Amino acid sequence: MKSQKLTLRLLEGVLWMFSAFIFVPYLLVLLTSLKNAKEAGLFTLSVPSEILILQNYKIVFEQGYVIQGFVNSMLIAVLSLFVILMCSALLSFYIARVKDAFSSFLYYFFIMGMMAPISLVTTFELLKSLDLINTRMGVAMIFASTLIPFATFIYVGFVKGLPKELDESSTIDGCGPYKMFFLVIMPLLQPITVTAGILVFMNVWNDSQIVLFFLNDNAKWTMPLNIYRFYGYYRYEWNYIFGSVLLTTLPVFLLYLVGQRFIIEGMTSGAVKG
Amino acid sequence: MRMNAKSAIRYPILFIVPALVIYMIFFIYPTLSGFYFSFTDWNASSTEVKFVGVQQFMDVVQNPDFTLALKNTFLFSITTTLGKNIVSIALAVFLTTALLTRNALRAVYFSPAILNIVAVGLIFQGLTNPDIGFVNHMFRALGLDWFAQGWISDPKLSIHVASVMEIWRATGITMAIYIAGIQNISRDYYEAATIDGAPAWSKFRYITLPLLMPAVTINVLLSLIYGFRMFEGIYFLTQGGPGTSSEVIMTMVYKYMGQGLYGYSTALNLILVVIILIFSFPILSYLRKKEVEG
Repeated sequence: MKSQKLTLRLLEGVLWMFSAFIFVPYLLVLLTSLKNAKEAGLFTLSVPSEILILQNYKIVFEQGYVIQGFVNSMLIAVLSLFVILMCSALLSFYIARVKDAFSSFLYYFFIMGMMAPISLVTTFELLKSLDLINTRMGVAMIFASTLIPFATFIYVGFVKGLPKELDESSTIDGCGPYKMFFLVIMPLLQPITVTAGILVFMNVWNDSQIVLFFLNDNAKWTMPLNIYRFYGYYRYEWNYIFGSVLLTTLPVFLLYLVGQRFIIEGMTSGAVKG
Repeated sequence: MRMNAKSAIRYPILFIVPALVIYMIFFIYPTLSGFYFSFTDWNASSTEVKFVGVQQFMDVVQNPDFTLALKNTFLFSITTTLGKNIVSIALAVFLTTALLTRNALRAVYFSPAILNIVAVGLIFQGLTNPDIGFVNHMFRALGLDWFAQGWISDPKLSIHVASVMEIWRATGITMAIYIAGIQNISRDYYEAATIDGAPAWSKFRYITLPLLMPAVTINVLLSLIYGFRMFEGIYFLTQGGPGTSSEVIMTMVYKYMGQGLYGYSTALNLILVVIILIFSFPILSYLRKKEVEG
């Protein structure tokens, strides 16, 4: 038993040692963002000779489109989130409850959406013909169409676990199907809605390709793409670039610190139990 | 008129309408019309769209850039699938033992998964820059100059750097799925094995691994598909370069769309869909069979 304990402590030490693969890049970003441009370009973990926290972050904040990006990211994320959660909760309730060929076809029909890549050219043309190209609304719709399958996948497993007696008793009590869903089922879906919500939010917030493909107007770009835009201007000033990297990943990092349990559990609930 | 309560519960078709409408308009319609346009010469410079049939695909296959992109797509998908899954199974096994700082370690190893790919791409540019990058500094400081390579500026290595970046970023997600899988395995098996005096490796080999197979299947499926579809991880690290050396199918789709060769671009898209279907169907049907048995 004693040797087993020793092995565990040893294993713990080794795992922390290997965490350097994670921490060193983080530390590099943090230290570089505090340095002057010359030192920053050296990419070392040395302590900065002068700490330029205010000067550097002032430039990032003023020229890195931080506020603009944040507002755009928020608008797109909240809009997509609302549409995706509403549609997926309704859809998965139907799929989980109705047991016929059509219902199971629906399930696989939507799951297929998790596999196929978006068709760039035709989606672009579609948005153009609907007057949604270069709009945050259009991008939110694309997010919805690609993430409804994912959210549905997560929801269905959970809804299947809700006893059907709930539906029966609420029907006996005189609830119609809509009242039943919104007053009885929706509140019970709260835990999985939080999980699915965080995952969808992170997916939309961190995405850089859908915005790149369908929003040519960079005044509407989200935070990740604004890092890239900023990088275009300050190609050799890595103190600013890494400052921008740090500043724009901060909101997600804070969310992660708060909701870590939900995020990790959420990412696994669909895959393992689904 | 009223039947008994059980048969009176209704699940109106309206429940599926919002999701179905959005999905059909914004995903299914462009996907299917893309299939059609991949057999046409649709492009930006002419107003007329002519049907060219399979000739388009002959052209694609004869394009040397496509051959390279196809090779890179497979290389990227397979390397990242292997890397993510092997590393994360090991991590998951270790991080489900009775460690004191287990939760902190899990949080650390998971954390790169919450970063956006533009940020990760820039971090890796800083790490792997051939002249000033952190990695080459390290090797030179350790006297291992031979290891200081061109990385993202070396046409032979750039796609591999992209694979390593993806493994670094996404192993945490795969790991979390394995951790959940291991936690679902009954403790009784391990207790019985301990009584029989089985060493740790045997417990892994004969209990953990076989019972983890459903999680392995889903993880392999997800990583393969994700790898085949990869765009961001290449574009924001190397932009497909140097030259076209790290181009994958999705970056080519984007490139040809930018050049106004719409039909050609949709053809590349269709090829990718077919590849994904060929690889995921066997895995999916295996999963369904398991579901029925289980």
